[in-house]
Amino acid sequence: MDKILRIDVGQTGLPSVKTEAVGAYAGLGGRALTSTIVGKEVPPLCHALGPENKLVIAPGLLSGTPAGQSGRLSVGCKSPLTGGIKEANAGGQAAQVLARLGYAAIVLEGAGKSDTTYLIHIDKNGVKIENDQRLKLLGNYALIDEMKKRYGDKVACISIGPAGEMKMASASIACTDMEMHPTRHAGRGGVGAVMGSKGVKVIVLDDAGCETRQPKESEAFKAANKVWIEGLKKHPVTGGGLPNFGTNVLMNIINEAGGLPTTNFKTGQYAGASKISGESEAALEIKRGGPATHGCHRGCVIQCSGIYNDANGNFLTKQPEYETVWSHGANCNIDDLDTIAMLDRLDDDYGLDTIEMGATIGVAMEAGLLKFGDGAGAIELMKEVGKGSPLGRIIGSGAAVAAKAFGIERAPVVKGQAMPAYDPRAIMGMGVTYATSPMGADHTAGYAVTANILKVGGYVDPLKSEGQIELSRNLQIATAAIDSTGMCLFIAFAVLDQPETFQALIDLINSFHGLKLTSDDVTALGKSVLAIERDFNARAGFTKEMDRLPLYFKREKIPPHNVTFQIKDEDLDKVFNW
Amino acid sequence: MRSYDLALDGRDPLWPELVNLLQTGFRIEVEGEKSVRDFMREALLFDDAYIEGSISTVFVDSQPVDDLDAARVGPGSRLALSAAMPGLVGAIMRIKSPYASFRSAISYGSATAAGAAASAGAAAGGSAGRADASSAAAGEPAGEGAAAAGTGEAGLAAGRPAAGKPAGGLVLVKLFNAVMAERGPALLERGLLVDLSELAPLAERLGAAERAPAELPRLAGAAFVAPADSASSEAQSRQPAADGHAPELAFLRVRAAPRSKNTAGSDGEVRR
Repeated sequence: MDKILRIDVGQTGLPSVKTEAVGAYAGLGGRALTSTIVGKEVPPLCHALGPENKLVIAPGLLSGTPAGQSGRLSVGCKSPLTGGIKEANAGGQAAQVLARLGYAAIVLEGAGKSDTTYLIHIDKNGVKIENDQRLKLLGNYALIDEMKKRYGDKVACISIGPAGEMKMASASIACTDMEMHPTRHAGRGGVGAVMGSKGVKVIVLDDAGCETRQPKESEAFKAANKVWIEGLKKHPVTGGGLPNFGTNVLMNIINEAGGLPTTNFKTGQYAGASKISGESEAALEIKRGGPATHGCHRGCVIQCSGIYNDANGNFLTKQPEYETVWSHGANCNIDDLDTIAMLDRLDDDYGLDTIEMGATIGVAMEAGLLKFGDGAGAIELMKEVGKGSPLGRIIGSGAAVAAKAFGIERAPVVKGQAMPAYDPRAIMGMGVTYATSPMGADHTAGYAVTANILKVGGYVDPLKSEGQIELSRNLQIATAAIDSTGMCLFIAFAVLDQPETFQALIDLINSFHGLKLTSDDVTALGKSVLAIERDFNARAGFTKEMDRLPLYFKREKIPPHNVTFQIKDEDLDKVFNW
Repeated sequence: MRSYDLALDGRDPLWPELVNLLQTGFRIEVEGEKSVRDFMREALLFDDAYIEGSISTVFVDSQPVDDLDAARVGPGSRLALSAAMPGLVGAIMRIKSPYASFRSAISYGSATAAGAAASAGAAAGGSAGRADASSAAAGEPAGEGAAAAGTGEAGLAAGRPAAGKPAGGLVLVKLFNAVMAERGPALLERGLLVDLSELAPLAERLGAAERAPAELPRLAGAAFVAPADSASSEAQSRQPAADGHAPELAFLRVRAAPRSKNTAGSDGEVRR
């Protein structure tokens, strides 16, 4: 991973390809690398779909190694959804394969031309690019079937569906999983539209003949990895809750807490929650012959995913995750798992962010386009997006645009990006992160629950209620650091409870790269990433007034707790004071 | 009250479906209020090691709990129990979470949560902090949330007896994830009161196991009292729940049976 592949799509004829040393970007991976390149090379005032924007695809510092959970791929650019900097990440096979090919990043740059549908094939011998119009507007599933015919089932693919080609602001980038299904998506912020703006349909990665990346200190790495994997397996969340029930195990909990956004964020509890819970979902998957415990990439220890078969036992989609089941389910009052799974399948096929789509359909329901609970209507609306009809293009542009188009105030967005599955009035600390994250409303921005171990900015007393600003800051710093390792964020639970597991993570990085990092260095990395991202947004015209929730979250009480968002604006402005 | 008494072998596919019912909730009779810890010990028969080692997330009336001894349940309460959960919000909801401040507005004992409970109780027709059983049983809306949206679960505290006047009644208990899987079978074996409507999808398979009320067993253990006669069973089957609804209840008991052919026994039990 000592080189960067730059593909300039603006050249006459086929794109030019240049491989260069990582140079000034040495030592960076994942989000740290994507945000640093975007921060340095992309003019913040450019149009996100214009020639000045760049799409940066980067595996993490430990991707392609035997380290467990090291398969996240970061994708960065200026976001067409938020207008600010964006890092979205995905599981699947791509990060591991790209890292074994030796690339720290692929950068797509230059002015995309109309009517190009580039297929980029990368293997140990180099890069081949063709303009294959037969692939135009194929859904991700049909596209990957075609790639399997051409290249076999051992490759990994990074692709966009029709939504990306149509440059919709909710478009995602798909990564194939172990079975070569296009089910793992860098979903947020419209990164797929930026790939579409470069005219690139699919990147095929083939690591045949490539070696696994070798650590600089082999014995120390092996020892650290052993402690690391043991730590993940013995923890009740990473070793039990997640593998047995998937991420949707949260459904019952968040519903019970009264923080499950329902009916487009009108209430905090959903009567149909138990019908679509992780417990019900896992039972149905097992009954239909699909495992409810499954990894999204080789080397996954936690195995939080599963296979969702239809009533006839045929593959329909991967196990829909909590955020997806919430957005298409509770938020739209749809309590049928088969309908939700079909919506997930369509999201993956068209290449769309499931959170943004569910939130947008919720807005459309509130606007009266269809009734809450109308599952068949939701599926038809999604198909409009796939077709690119005028209505579909409005829906595919996300919740903020749809709310404007339909005259609805209640768009649950920050910086133009839809909120995830936790109501910020009931769980106010999440609201702090939604408001202030450089990414827009994003639950993963403050996901890494390592803050009190890292002791960023001092230990926060858990019994005090006034620590939400400090905690959000610490969580965002820790998350930015973990996003740079290529590690799945679910490692955070084992790291939170088991200091030896956290130390094992640092030992893995150090022994692999021959470094002597301390937790302070990890903290500094997280801070620097956030500083770069905040600086980009400031130069793009973002002000502190954009670090706010929509005003109705301060005005409208959320049942059953009947609370509003009560964090003061001046306190939100303190989040990044360090 | 309808009653179902089954004997299933351990591999019967009906087992997971019945265990899954416990996430929706079942009801247990309780005399007066007691701490969550005592309720788990006495009514659910959880041992201390299980409580300390496996019960990581607890809600009383939708309020996350940090102190099992201070939080109390009584007639009309709603108690939910879970293992440790993923995600930042999963961590936030844990007992004594380092991130408890993120949900301080809704935590058990917080001023806001208490106010919300009181307001919901008043909306249900009771005095502050409670709603009397008659109003809830009459099907009045339990909180402005449920009334406003028509789709959310009911507001807090509806159907709860007056503070300081402990009386017999039912606690709605929900078991989630690993707790449901680990403790559900034993609880089903002792017998539970469940909402009859939840059994509807299983009606065909449960039909052969239905018993007449007169045949209902009286269970050992003070916390579990199945109604023995039709008069009390009718009264109990319409007890208002914490969610303000007055569902028709059914008694369900599932016993482990040795493997045998898939036949309905002559005594009305289903053996598989």
